[in-house]
Amino acid sequence: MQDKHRFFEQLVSAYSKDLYRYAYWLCKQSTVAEDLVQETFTRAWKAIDNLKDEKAAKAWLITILRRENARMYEKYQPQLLELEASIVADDYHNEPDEKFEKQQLHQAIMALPIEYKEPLILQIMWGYSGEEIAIQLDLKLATVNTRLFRARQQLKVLLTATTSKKSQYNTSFDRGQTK
Amino acid sequence: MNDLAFRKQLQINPHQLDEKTLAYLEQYPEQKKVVKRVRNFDAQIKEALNIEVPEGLHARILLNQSYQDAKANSSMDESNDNVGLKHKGSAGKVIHFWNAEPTVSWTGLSAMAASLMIVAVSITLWQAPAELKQLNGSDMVAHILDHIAEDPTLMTEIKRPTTEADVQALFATVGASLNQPIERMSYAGECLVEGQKGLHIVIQDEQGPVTVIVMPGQQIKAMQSFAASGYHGELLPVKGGVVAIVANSMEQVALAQMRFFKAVRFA
Repeated sequence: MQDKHRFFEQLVSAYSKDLYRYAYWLCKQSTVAEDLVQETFTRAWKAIDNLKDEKAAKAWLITILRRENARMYEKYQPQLLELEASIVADDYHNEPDEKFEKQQLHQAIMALPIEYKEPLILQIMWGYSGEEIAIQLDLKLATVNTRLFRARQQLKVLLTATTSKKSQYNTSFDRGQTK
Repeated sequence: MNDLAFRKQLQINPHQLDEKTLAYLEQYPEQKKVVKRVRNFDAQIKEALNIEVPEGLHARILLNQSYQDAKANSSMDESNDNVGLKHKGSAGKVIHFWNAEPTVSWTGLSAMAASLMIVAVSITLWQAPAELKQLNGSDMVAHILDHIAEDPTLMTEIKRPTTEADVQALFATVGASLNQPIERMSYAGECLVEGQKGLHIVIQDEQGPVTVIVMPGQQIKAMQSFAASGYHGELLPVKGGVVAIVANSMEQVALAQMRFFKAVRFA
């Protein structure tokens, strides 16, 4: 590599945002996600001379991030999901439908088990093929396909459940208004 | 392929349809609406996944890397030279005077920037020569902004010494030297700020030009950030003078600071 500083800057420019998003969906906390990305790039910088193939940088960074997340997860497990879900639930009758749906989808992705969430993120956000996901996550292609299928199925189920909850809420709210 | 297999295939990847799925669609064209529906759902998922990234993340990562680098170099220096420890200790006091930006995210960035300065530049105000004149920070900012406004063409002009020797000679006039070229430097030349001879540099950034002015003979107690006349900037004490960095945003300032001090050393 001619200029490793410049190459590092290019890596940060190209991948820091998506790595942050990946980290956020893994750890569910924005401050922890930023720490994870910082640590990922710190480790990447220290080992940048070992990166022989620049094309492999993307997968390499994801691998570092996942390892860091696993390391951090061993230390503590943030439990913010229920709190965030309750905030959304309290507010949803005031939200426009589109915003409500986006928030519900956000919460549904949050609630998705990590084994389903990761392949889905790699496919939708990073544009990975099934084979590439299998290599990245060290899984068989059939397993990846099953998980992608179940991820979408579960999201639909979670969304259907919250949408029907909203419609029940609106119906009872409307009844209360007309009394 | 039957309907069940078709729908399962769509749930695995609605954007990459294999030959069997395509053949099924040709046989049952009414099923294209199912494909459209699943793809729409994927677009919604993509939008939901695409959460907002904290402002300044990119700059904080690069500053952290520079800091780690500088720390590593500093450790090497310290093992060979005890004077280095003295510099670090005295510079550490500078942090107490740091005028932090009001936002939380920039506080972290600023602290990192301060650390970077401490280690990389080895600030030694307490050792500054007695003849250095103490200036008020806000006056200095006003002078610098006036100076930038005097000739706005410098922001876009590409003019810098062509040989490495000429660049080094130019930086030597303000007591500095270069250990590598300053990335994206479009202009470098001597200037006068309120009768004081200095060095004027412009660094080109994606968000616009950044002006760096080195003023030897000036002195401030500590790093100061400022926002005035639509600009953001920092005044940074260095050995024998002050470096001012002025840009459209603090993120630009932070990146320019990193690029500048990665290359420049003050003797």
